[in-house]
Amino acid sequence: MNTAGLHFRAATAADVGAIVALTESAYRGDASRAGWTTEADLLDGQRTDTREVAGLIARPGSVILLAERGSVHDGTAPRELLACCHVEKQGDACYFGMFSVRPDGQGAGIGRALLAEAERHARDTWHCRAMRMTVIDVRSELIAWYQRRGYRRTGEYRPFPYGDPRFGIPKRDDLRFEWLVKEL
Amino acid sequence: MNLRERMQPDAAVDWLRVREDFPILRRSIHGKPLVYLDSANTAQKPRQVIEAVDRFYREHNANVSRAVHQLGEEATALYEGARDKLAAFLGASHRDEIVLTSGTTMATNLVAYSYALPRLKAGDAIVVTTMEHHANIVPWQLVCGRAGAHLKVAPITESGELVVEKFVELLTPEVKLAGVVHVSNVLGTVNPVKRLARECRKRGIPLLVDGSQAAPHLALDVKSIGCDFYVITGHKMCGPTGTGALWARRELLETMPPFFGGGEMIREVKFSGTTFADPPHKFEAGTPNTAGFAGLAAAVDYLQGIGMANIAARERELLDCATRRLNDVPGLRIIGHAPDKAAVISFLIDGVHAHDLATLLDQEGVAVRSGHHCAHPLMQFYGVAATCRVSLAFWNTEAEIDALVEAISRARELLA
Repeated sequence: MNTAGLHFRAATAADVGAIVALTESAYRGDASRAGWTTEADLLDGQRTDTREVAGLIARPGSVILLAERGSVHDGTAPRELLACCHVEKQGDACYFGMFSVRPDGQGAGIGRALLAEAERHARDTWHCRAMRMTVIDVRSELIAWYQRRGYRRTGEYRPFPYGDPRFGIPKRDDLRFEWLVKEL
Repeated sequence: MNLRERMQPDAAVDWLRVREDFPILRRSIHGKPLVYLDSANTAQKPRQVIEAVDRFYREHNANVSRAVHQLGEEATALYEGARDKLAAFLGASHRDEIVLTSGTTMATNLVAYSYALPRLKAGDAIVVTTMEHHANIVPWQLVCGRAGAHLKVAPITESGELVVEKFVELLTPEVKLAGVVHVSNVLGTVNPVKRLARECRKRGIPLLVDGSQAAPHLALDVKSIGCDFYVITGHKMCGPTGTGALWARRELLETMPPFFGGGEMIREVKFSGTTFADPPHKFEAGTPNTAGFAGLAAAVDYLQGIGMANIAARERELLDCATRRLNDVPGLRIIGHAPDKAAVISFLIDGVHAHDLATLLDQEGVAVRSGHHCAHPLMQFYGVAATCRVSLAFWNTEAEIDALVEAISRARELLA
């Protein structure tokens, strides 16, 4: 796992553009195919936009965590954004989403480290008992990755937002999300 | 063989020779040759199935998965072999997605209590249709009653077709599951389950399809249908009574707690707590109907040996013939006119009670079912207490349809 020099912090409004670019590259189009998993075969269109990301950053009980490499102390060397995720407190549990790792940096343990940081944040900062997320249920390789991190399938689903292009343009008409959960 | 190939009828089958496989069809009833037209109730069994059950008790009888001796190995191989055959028959991704049950009713109850009940809360709903068999109504009512949830019922047309648009309208966020019959046991209607599954999936609603009447007559592929649960019963598909199966996506079975507790479904039992076997075995407590599953495996071989496409094509011929002949009977009204229909014909005759007619037909050696067909709500929809039902199978003949029509004519004279 090559996570040496990795730093985590909460995003601010100044990070919105970089987060949108990273998320789009991880989820959509040919850029995403450089990673080990993608949903480019399931969806076109956008994954997110500046308005949504800015809203997630500004909302109380909501944070976008960034994983960066490079000095964060001297303020001179540029920091490199490698991964991000959204964590939101929802009652006793936290919701985890918009998980993005730069496609050419995937498979190096960065995502695993950021997920662990998100769980630490949920548990220690917000005192949440569980982390929940939704994953398109046909992305079996991605679900298996989360299962190896301790998440379990629930057999419960939520609809895919068909007809709302903010979440992409589906290439199939049978997509749905399954809830995954991990007790923290 | 892929599904497309399985759905194409091939070379002509010698149906009279097939008929000879069914020993019971040589029987006389009240001095008349048996004309068995009640296959939707239970199918007759070919000798291959009867011999498989007989052979099990003569040569292989032992308990499954709990004996190291030779007979135990053989019994286990036959039982697990039935799982393999049913997995292939249904197009399952993996044999572990097949839970062997006593039939459709047990399979549906398993889903109701193990999947639905833990997820239902007050105000939630389950969607069914007007044309459901009681086995796809009552289990949901029972779990809804415990949870404070309720049933929502999708309507059908007068011709017996599901109003798909209304079904889709009912798929609102409080719906936690939908249950739909693939082929109606009363109307013969073949529902567009693939389309219904797609609409359910998009809304995150799991779909159970009751395949009791579909499995004996259609080539099936659960992956292609896109549903989450598919339930079948063995005795309607030439197998023994007390056999059936639940197919469910493996990830769903893994989330479901055991339904029955007992032997054979555990990993380790301690008084401080028990751990369970992996699916599907955690749902198969107790000694199963091993001889029955040996017979059901033979039934699957038998049906596939003829070919489901050939069976469907032959039954379509018989349905067309019987519909034509019955339409010529004065005062006879057929209930259910869906364009896509299996070989089931429910009917009424003006001024004649269904039970009286069935009793008189029996005197002529003709076995049909009369009554509500375990579908009270459907009878209420049509405003009738009962119907007569003719259900055909590939072994039936046009001559038997003639015998039916002649027997009806004689009965009408008596009852007029």
